[in-house]
Amino acid sequence: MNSTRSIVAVLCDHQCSPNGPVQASQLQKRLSESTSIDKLIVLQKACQDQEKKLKNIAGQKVLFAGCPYLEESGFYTRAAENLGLGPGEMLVTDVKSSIFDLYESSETIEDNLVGRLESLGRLLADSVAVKEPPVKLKRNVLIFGSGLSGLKAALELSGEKLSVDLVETEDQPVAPGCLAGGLNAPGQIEELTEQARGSEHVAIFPYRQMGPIQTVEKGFTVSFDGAQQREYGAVIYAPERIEAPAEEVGAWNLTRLYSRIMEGHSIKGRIVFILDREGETAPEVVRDVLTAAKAIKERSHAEIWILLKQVRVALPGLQELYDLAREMGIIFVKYQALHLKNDFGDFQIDGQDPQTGAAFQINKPDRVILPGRSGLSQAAVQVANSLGLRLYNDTYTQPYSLWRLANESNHPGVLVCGSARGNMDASGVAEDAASVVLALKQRLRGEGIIPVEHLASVDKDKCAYCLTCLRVCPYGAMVKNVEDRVAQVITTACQGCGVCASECPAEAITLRNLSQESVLAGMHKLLFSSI
Amino acid sequence: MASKKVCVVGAGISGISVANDLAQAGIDVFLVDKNPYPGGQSVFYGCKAADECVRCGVCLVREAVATLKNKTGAECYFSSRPVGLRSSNGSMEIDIQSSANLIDWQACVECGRCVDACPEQAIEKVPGWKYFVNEKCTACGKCVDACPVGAISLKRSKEQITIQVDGIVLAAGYEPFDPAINRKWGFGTNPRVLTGSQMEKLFFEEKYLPVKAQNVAFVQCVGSRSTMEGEKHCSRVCCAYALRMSGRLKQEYPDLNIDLYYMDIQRFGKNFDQFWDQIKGKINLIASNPISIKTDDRGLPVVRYESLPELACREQTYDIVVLSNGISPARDAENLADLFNLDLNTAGFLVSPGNGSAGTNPGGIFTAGTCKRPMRIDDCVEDAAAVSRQVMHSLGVQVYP
Amino acid sequence: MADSILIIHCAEGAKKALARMSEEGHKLPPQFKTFELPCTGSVNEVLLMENLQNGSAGVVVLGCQKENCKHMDGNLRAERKVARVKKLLSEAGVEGKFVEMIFTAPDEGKRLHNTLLEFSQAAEAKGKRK
Repeated sequence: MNSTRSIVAVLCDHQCSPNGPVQASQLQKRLSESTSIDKLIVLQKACQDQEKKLKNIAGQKVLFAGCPYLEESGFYTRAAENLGLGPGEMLVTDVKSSIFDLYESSETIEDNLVGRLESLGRLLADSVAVKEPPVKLKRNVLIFGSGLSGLKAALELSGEKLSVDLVETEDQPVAPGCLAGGLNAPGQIEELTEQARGSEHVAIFPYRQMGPIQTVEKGFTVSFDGAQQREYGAVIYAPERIEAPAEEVGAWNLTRLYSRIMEGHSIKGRIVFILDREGETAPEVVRDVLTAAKAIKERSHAEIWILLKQVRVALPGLQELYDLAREMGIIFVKYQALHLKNDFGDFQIDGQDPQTGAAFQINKPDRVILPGRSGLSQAAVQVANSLGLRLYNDTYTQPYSLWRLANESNHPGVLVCGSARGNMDASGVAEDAASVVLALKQRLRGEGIIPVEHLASVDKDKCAYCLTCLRVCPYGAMVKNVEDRVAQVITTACQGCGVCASECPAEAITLRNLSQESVLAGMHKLLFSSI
Repeated sequence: MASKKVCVVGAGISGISVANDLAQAGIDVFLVDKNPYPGGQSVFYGCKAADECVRCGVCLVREAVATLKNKTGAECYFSSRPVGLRSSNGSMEIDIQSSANLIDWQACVECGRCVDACPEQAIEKVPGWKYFVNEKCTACGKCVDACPVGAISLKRSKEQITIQVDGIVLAAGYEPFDPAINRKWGFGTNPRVLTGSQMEKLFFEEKYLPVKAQNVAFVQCVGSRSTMEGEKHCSRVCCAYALRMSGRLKQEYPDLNIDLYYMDIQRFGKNFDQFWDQIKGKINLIASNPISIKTDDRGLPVVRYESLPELACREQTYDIVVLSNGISPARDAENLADLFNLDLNTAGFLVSPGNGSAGTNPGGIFTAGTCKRPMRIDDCVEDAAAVSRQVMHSLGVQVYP
Repeated sequence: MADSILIIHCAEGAKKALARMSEEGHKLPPQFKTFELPCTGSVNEVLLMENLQNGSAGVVVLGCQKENCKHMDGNLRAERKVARVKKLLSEAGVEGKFVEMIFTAPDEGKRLHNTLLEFSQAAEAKGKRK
């Protein structure tokens, strides 16, 4: 338990309340019997720069209550500065939309207002002032993945004079949906790799040398080949998605086809692309397929068929590609059901038109192209798991929640860039790398990271080392303290959500300024103070 | 060194996102919009979550507007348009014609007294923002008296301002396709035929359907993918919003019958496969683009379409028909192209200068959002981040000083 | 009050939903009280049970829409805990008390209002039956 500082409630009773101002005298009377609030100050029109009136309440904890505009306009910030208050010494609550506008009669409003003030006053009484200094992170970034996404991100960051360690994976640099290194921009990957190698800010390591990534107070650490641990403020997860081999023996997947085209082989005969067999093909992949088909046609007199269930056109320029492909003689057929007979590489395709139901057959194609399922490589999945990144079917990182930026993951300090996030073509990847740079600024900003007010902390005596909290923390903010055999909170990662505290079987975890006892007492006051 | 100045033309989701990002980097932002409020069109769209969030992005728009209100500190010119542009000494001068806003947004404390006082319901609230006065105003002045902070004035003065800026971002938005152009869709003659934009407003008001209904039809590709009666391009957003709306309608009215007339279904979002599996079982998909929508003697819309398995024309009567109208270029795209010296592509959208979307632009004029191509809300937010970065790059503003 | 209903809501989407609800002019019956937590994931069974034991008629846990929790899956955890407490209540034969989980999107003022009213009416009905 801490200081016996008294608690002052500052209420703005502005004419904003549609039922007329709350009777200040009435309120004073009710709160004079309160055990949580020692004094009530009622301001009229606080938004008209009234914070100067609060000078004589220095040294006390303050509960501010008013309309949302007061928070938005900075009134509370200015008042807190004038009074020298920090988190843990003050609480702010909106009473306009959650009390004045929410209830009908003025008795109800008064009851609820008293209950709210008493409840929060109780919470504030138990709160400790938060005086933690911000933690500055190193402006070093680890990028996992050396495909187009990783390279672009590395070059963008090195342009901002940040040090980058790039981990080179052995994935094919050409992934479905991203023909960056190939037909659309020949030599781009090689060029970017050259630039990266030449940059003084970028160091490149092969994946096989990489040890596990550890989350620490100052960010992350990794050691390469057992050498000294290198520290990073942030990690960018940018592996390319790779394509599984085609499901039918003898068929080619897109990666194989692109490599053959890029190596200069001319592909002849009757070539059949079968799309949409496994789920719906992404428009970016369709764009690559059309580009590849055009490239084949330009070099040989191949007879090209493209079988699909739906025509994807929701990408700019895709409609024009279809038209161009048709003009070159590429044949498009929509199908509803398809049977593929495979006799050791000799195929026969029987399909059904979706609108008329009529059957069609394609005999003895020389080459069948079946896009394989695209997903993350084994290495990428392993790294994702070690970071606690949420994945969807091991195919891409799970879209997290709308409240977080597109590049953010469930791990503060780990950003996802490129096709690991979803289908993207080359220009999409370039844009993504650009936005990752912006997104990183939150994390690597000059002032450092201020631990949240409701920081979790583990009581070492109660902790049973069951490691449940490690498993449930959405942010990977819990690590093992092997020496003491307890779980430990990484203060730069904890976001104060409280899941660990509620799941701990030993009740060993509490949130700062939001302990179970305070919350229960606060709720009790809220429900029964108006009796 | 003086901070850089950028003018963002258009305060829809793209313009606001760019403004927020640039202001965070220490750039002075001047935000211009022709409406008396920020948020563009999507701030009045409705949430389409059924059992789960479908990531339609509508709540993101409100967040962006709220950030603009509370944190960004941009200088905002509403009810304003750009009317002139000159280069001078390496920077640019942009002329803005501005009508005074009746409600001073910086003084307004959102008490709502003006709304209660207005006899014509001429004052509306923008979610995440403050109040604005719409066309129903009769200048009676009751709101002026009711406002406790004196934020309302009835002076409707116009003025022209010139701002010197180092960069300009055009986020002028789009024009929803108007199906009244062609009588075959029955829009404008039958009140039970609605556009997607009108449905969004109903979703925003949480009314969902204009009248009680048993049978609803969604018609896709209205004004898109067509050479004759609309635009040639795919508008990218209509499959997404129509399917999400259907999902929400089925949750609200489980016995409602929904028929969706389509040409091809476009993928959207990452969980598309899951979403598609769910929604497929709840609605009837008809792979046909209707020929016409007429009205029968009860006033109900009748959809006439070609049913290909039987190779015959069929007619189906509905209580409500929703035309999923698409995205056309901004109404003043040509004027903007002239004013800012940009090209228009064959579809009429503004062409982003520089080589490709990630190129640098020595001219200092950038484009963001639906004024360059059809985009969903999540696309707009991602695009805005990339454009902000380009702007900062070209102005030499370091992200990490 | 003995028939008060506690709404435990998260500081993210649920708070916005309540604000939207009041913005649209939907009023709540006086017995509802709201208490804010950072995420509904920090709700545990003890919190729910204590509040039911000390006399309130019911507890409603108001969290963000599924797949939209800012802290990843806090709302799903809360759902599980609410389900467990519900089961305990019914196994113990406790009547006249309820605990429910509501998922809400920040823009669904009217829907939220209707759901809350339904709960309070059901609670009243149960109370009268006793």
